Amino acid sequence: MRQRKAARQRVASIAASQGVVAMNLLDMGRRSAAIEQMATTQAMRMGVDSMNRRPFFSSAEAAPSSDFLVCPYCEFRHTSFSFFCQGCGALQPSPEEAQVGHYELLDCDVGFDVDTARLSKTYKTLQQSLHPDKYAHKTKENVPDVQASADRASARVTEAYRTLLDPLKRAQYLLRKKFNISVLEEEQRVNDPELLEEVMEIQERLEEDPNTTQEDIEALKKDFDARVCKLVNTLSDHFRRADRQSLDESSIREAVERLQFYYRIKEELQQWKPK
Amino acid sequence: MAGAVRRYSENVHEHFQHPRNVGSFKKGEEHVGTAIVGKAACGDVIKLQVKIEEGVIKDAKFKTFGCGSAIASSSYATELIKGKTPEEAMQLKNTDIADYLKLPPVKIHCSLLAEDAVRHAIEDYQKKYPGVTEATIAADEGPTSHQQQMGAA
Repeated sequence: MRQRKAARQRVASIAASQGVVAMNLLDMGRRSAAIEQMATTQAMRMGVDSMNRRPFFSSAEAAPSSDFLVCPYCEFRHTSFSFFCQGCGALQPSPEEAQVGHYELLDCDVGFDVDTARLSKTYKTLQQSLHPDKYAHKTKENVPDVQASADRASARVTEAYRTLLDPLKRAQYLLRKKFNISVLEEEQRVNDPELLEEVMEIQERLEEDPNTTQEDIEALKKDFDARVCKLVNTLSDHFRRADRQSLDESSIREAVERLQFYYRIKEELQQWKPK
Repeated sequence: MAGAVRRYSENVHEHFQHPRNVGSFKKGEEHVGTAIVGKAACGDVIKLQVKIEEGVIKDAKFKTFGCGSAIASSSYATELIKGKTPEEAMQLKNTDIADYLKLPPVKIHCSLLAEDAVRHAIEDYQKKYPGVTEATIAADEGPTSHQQQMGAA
């Protein structure tokens, strides 16, 4: 309690020093806005432009751990991202402010190869600590927008987890963030007639061939699981090679597109019913 | 997000329930141009074929692996180009399809894919039968009349 009171006093003093009327802070809505503004101003003072989305890592290097966010409650200056202040332990206003990427959010090494068991564990632990029930009573005590912060943080964690867990989404994310390459965009066409023919042929078997049986479907499911597995390994090789040399863009694009179609076929196989 | 929930328009429904010109020409059939186009973003694939005789698209067939809008777009596209010259068919705009089917903004890309399919199928025909089309244009319109028109304008 004492800690929180002290934190609140600090908020007021920071606000005053920045010309924000301290009285406004008593109003919940304005209060959160003021705090966000403070975080932004603080971050900008430290050379982090929170208003523009700065890529969280722009080269082949790992994520930088320079000035991230200043705790609005106790002014602790963090050198790496953390949901909870390393100084006072308070939940930070928003992970959005920190421009933090999925990998960092889930404390995971940047790369295509991901330890999914560890990822899931981190995810569950984080979601437990960000659970809305933990913050419900705190809102009553007028702790500034802490529940909203927890909700936002929780949503961000889920988004990051879903992206990193799925190899296709992970590849797409990694290509965009680390290599500045966008794949699977709306206007992009697939320049691989062989792949498209293959997709068409499978589709014809599923939709039109009256002789297709449940056993065929099960065999196809196994076949496509194996193909997906192989493609994921191919992607992994490509990304690992990219760390040593340069990225083979056309091959990696081809693999990602193929994977997307395989996903689509797998969906169709799941939904298949005998004619 | 309202657009995503919105139901298909009646025209989409009609073309989706009763798609026109579904199928493909027999392998090795002559005077056929084939296109297969795909979009990885959603995994849609359209295979579209045109049969061109005497400078006119006599028949068109398609097979589409995709959502209702993609199927309706390709179905309507084959309807539109039948009986047209390849040059006229090349003028087909995705908006012609999208407007008729009243596609919501999130589905406009389906009509674009159908437009691409038509263009590529005709281009494939022109590649396979070079000279045939130009000869027909010359016979149909004639460079002279074209020049006269240009002169008059």
